[in-house]
Amino acid sequence: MHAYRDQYAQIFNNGQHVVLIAISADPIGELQAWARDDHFQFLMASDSDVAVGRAYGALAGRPGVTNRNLFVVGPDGRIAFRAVPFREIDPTAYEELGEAVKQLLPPN
Amino acid sequence: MQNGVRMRRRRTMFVALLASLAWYAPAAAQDVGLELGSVPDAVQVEDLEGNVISMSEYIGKKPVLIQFWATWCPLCEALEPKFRAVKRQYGDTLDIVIVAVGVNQTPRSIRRYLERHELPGRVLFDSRGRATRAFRAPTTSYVVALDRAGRVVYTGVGSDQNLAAAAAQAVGSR
Repeated sequence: MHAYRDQYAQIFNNGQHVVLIAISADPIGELQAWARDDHFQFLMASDSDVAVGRAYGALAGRPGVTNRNLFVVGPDGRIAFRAVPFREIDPTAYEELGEAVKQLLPPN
Repeated sequence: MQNGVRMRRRRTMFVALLASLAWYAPAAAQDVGLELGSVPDAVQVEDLEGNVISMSEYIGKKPVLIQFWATWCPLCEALEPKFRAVKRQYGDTLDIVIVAVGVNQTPRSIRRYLERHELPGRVLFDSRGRATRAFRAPTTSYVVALDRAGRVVYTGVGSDQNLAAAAAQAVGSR
């Protein structure tokens, strides 16, 4: 999660025309503390009944555990890019994500 | 003004990231990463001075434990005593390789960490993620044990891994 925070400007255009939502099965209080302690500048959402996780195919086969799946939804509401699972410790995965986001940004 | 708001909304994309603290909970061995019996590709990584190192130096030479690691990984830090115990038990009959992932750390920050922590194995840097992909590493703390033929005999993640058993499998496998 720190990689998203630290590369927020490069990957997510510093939040201009991009909304990043980290969705987790963890309770909202834990997410709130996590975001506060680690200074996350993006949204976090609690999916305590894992309804979103199930819909996005993120259940890991163990109760209460989700994979790190990532979807980029374009302004038209369609999925433009997906990483299932997102290779969170592979630097090239962040480059691919940044390129996918860049493709959807409005022209300057 | 309302039209302006709508225009901005229409231009906005959403990036949904499904993450979980629970993912970091200890997982059972053998349900992540490479399949047992497979032999990982001998991709190239770097040492902390930037020299190219082939993983062929460690695959199929002698039993080896390979950990995907980061300075910012608390589970990796929790595993350090277990790695030291394995090193004490097996000495030079077993290699230990620490693959520092190329996300949110640099050779410089790794060297600073190593000034304060004794890691009982060679630390390599996976700057382009080649080893991460070749070993299908899902997260830091991921450990792969290879036998002397380079075959995977164990994979696991988390701080509760039984590295003594993984090392015994790697050394004992024929």
